[in-house]
Amino acid sequence: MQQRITHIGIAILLLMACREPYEPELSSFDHNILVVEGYIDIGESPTQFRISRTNPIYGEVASDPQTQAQVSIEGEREGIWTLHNQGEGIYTLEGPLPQNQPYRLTINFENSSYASAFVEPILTPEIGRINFEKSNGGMKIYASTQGNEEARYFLWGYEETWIYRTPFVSYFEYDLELGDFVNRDQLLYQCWDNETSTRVIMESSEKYENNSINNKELLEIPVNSEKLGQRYSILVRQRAIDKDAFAFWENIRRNSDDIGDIFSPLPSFVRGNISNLNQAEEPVIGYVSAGISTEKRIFIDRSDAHPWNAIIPEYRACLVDTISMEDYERHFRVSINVPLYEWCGDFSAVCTAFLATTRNCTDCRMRGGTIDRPSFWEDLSF
Amino acid sequence: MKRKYGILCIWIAFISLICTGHVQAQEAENKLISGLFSGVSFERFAQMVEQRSPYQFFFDPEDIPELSININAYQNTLPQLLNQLFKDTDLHYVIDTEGRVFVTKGRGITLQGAEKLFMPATETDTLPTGEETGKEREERSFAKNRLWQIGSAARSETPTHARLSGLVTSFESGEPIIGAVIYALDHEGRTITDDDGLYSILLPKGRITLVIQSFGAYQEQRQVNLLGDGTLNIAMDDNIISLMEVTVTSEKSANIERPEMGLENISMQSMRKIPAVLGEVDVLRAVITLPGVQTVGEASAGFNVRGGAADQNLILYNNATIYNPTHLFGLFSAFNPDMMENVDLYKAGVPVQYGGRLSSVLDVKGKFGNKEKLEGGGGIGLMTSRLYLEGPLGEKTTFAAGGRSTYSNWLFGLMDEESEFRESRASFHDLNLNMSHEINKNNILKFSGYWSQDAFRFDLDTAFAYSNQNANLSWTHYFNDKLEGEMTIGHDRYAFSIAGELDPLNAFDFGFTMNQSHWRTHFNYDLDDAHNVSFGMNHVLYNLSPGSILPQGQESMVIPEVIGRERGLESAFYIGDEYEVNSKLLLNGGVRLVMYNYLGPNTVNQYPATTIRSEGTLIGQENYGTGEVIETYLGPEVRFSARYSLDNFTAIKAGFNTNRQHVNMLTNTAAIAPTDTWKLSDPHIRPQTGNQVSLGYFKNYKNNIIETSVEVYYRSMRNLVDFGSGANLILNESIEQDILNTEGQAYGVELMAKKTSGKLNGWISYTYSRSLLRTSPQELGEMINDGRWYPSNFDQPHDIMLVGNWEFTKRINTSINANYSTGRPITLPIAKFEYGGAERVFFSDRNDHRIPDYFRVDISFNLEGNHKIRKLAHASWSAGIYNVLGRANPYSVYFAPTNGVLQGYQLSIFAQPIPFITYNFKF
Repeated sequence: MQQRITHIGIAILLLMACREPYEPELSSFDHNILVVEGYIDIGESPTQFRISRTNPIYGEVASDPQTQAQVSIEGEREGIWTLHNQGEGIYTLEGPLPQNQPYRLTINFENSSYASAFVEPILTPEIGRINFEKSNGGMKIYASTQGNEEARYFLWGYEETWIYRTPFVSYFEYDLELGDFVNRDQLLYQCWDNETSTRVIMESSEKYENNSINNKELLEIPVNSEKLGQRYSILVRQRAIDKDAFAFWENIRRNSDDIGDIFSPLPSFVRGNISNLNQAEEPVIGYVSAGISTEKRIFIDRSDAHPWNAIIPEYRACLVDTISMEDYERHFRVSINVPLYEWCGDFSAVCTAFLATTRNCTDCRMRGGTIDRPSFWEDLSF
Repeated sequence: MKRKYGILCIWIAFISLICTGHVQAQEAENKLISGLFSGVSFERFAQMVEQRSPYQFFFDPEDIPELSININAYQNTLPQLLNQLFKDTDLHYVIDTEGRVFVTKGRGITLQGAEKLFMPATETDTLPTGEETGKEREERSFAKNRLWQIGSAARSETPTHARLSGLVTSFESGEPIIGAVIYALDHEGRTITDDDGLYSILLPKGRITLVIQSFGAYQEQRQVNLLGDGTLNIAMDDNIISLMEVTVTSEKSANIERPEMGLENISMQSMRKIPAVLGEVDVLRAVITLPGVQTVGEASAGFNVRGGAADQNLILYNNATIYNPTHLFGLFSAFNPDMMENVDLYKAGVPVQYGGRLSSVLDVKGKFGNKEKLEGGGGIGLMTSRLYLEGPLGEKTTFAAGGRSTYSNWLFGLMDEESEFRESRASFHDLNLNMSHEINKNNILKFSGYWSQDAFRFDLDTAFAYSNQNANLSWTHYFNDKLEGEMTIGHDRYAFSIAGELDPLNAFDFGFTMNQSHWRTHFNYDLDDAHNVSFGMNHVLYNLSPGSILPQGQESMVIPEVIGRERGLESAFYIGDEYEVNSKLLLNGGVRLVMYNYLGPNTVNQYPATTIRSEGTLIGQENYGTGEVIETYLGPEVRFSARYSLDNFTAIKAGFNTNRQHVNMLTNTAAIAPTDTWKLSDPHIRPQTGNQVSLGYFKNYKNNIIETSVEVYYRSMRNLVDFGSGANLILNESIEQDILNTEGQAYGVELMAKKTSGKLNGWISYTYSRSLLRTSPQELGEMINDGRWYPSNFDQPHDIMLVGNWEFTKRINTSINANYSTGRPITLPIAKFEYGGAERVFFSDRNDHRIPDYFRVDISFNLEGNHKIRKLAHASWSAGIYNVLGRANPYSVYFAPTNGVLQGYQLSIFAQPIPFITYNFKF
């Protein structure tokens, strides 16, 4: 009886009484929507578009790049420019376009054609200043700019690049043929890594006096991030967009936050300015804006962030091992271990062992970085 | 075989009636009885007679305790024996054609009534015909045949006619009887008693037979010699009549008679017959059985009337506004069924004295206690109990007090230790106190107080609580025969809080409070026979604290945040007239002038006039001082309705009304959730306005026993509040950035057929309705679904409701309640993609999909105790099963990432059949 009453109690009272998986039937059309992202840059910067389609919500891969599209830009008065297919759904166009006309993007597939609305290019003002400031242990980076009558809504993106180092430096490698250690051609302890913005950063200059935006926060580098361990650079790209585009991006921004539980809203989506020319009601995601984007790069050195204790979790477990001569072949041949220095005992002149560690702890490329110095990179100058 | 009126034996009685009714339904009258009955009790005597003859006895043993029988019968008829036995007692008996013997103490019973009462359940339902009622009328009038001399010839309204007025009350409870029809036999003109049981009618002088017809289908008569203007108060014995009361009175003849459209009146009697969860008689559940009223799910006692949002219903309890009308996340309504007198729902044709909401007015009238004697009652159910007491306090004062409480917490304690709900708690209570004091004949003071409190939590972590607190005082003054005034002042408070307690560093207290003070002045003036004028004014001062979060305890690191208070004053001046052009055409019209002031102190965000309101476009803030008027909105509301009777049983009605609303509920669920906050209209959020046109055709058949109606309506609404994608509603200091000015339209047709009395009664209704929204074309921000019309959260086009009662006997009835409706719309995430460097989710158009359809059947049995007037307690049982089919009707659908993949879940609240039983008593 007790059990029974309890059951009634559960059934009656609890909102969680019955939760079942729910997979609404969605037609295949529903998850095959064209996604267009990019910006028609009529200035020096290349124009780049990424064409993809949506994937089913219950799948694992988010995006389905479209590699078979014919993508071009049309001027309202004159000119058609075809973008070059770079693969993986990326289409690019180099070089400036005439400034005095609206543009639109056209995308042609074998049996369907899409086009954006004609958009008036907006000349983005220069980025006034990029500054940074330590705040609660982290580092905040801000942008400031001066809007005008034409350019009032701004969108920012950035690319971060930074140096990180392995805890140990290997100057040698084991030459299998010689059966001995040789100097490395290339040291692998220092890499450049980069990251692009994933947040939507936007602001309108309308609310400020003289349309001037001051110290718009772009990002915060979290406390003890590896990014400020050596030297860091950020390239900020600023684009002025029109009001409709602003609303579109605002929506993208809000939709990105978590989608919820019972009480959270199920949001809807603003589509943008691209449509299927034969079937106007077909949803297409994306908003094509045009104009000249502006960029600015700054560097932040570790001394600017001092004190900054960069922690790279993968390197916390790095230990040095001693490999005796008879084990060289076994250990270094299969490249589990990487030689560091020869160990010659305390007072002996005969070196009998080699200090070694794992490859992960000496080869920074293992974490995804590159040892190639980026062309824009400037070292700290005194 | 012996039966009695006892409570416990009622089942046996019921079963044996079915089993034996036919066999013994033979000619019993002439059966002769022989035997020696020496020193036996009457019970034993009856038993012996029953063994020897087909007679059956019905009596209450308590009536005849001392009687000892010494009689030697030889070939005697039963009447001979009984006449002998009852010679020196006050016992009476009556024998019906079926051989049933009814023994009563004090007064005899009339067989015509009793015959129907105990008709075997297998008999087909017989509807009283006009002739029958005529016969009854004569019999009753005989009993009431006293000549009442009224007035003096010196004072009368016209030389030939005089005005008769007075109060109609229940003989049993002393409560006024509302809506009784009063007319004189063979004369023109009729009237209906008002909300206070008062009537006034102009009649020709001289001898007349006054007929008072209560909606319980029972008539009272008075022989009146009308000499001049005067007063006649009438007490009607409605106790026995209530046995024959129909399921839903819905103002029986008012269906045809009244000009208002879309007025639904639900009697407590009918509410008791609708199967409810856990056996509680529930106003809100009864309301949603009516056509045009829908709900979005089980645990949401908020309701939607004709495509309006849940916050567009004005819910009044004795003039107090109830902001959250539910307990336990909507399982119970906040109204104690014992404390209610009457419930009116105005879906259209809202009377001119009400305003402030767009869709409907639910007017719950509480009891003020009867004048005759102290009475009480209550109920005991699996999870809740309730108790009430009413009666006189001295000569002039009456009171009614009631309370309810739950004891559900113990259920959670019983759960397995591993159960994730073991730490859940849920409880509520509510208290009512209503008092009425008659200062003198012309002045009545009434006090009404209401308190409700809910507390629940799902785990140790977070506790929710909410509370309604209302009190008001009203003074009714009769200036003269024609002018009546009522002034009410009161205060309403609604508050909720969320306390997060588990982690001392993050402990917080979130609170929301709505306070409103109101002052209502209402006058009613009987201009003449044709015109009844009402006028007055309402003032409501809103004082709202939209939200605050405060750290709890010393260690808490929560940063306190308090959203500034909001104040607003809503003032309305109104005048209306009910004009009876002739006996066929009745017009009712009125106008309200509503002024709303948004008051300081406050800080208002400023945006450039022609841009979207967003964080990015905020220019600055403007401060206003205390009492400063920040914004004023002024507008009229029009109320008009007309009725044209084609004949006595057919009417056409039409109505048009406009409404304005200055409070907006901020919710992203379709129902009323305990965490919904409210927002006043302000410079950014204009008052909601709406208008409705409706047309209806009403036809009654079989002497008003079958009522049918077709109503069509079209509503349009402006300045509704909908939210942009991903809006955050709690603790949002600039909520205007998330609000999209939205317009709405709703239309529908409601078909209903109702049988109001007889063994089988109930109704079936079908509603086709749509409720659509569209982002206003003037809106500068996001256009939901590209500015196209989209279904609202509660757009459920098809809705079928069946409520049926079958009365086996007058004491045993069973009811069934079946509801089908289209699933409500939702927005589904349908695809994902990459954009702006991250993975994003693509949602369907707003409300482009629907959750599965809703279908539920409930059954219940009600067992009434006996109907003797003098006994200790009147008891009844109600038992049944909610959701008999055990269908898992989804309440909500939501999506959450599981192992990195988004998974949808549907949530059902009552996925299994839920049995319930409640014991109710009255003393």
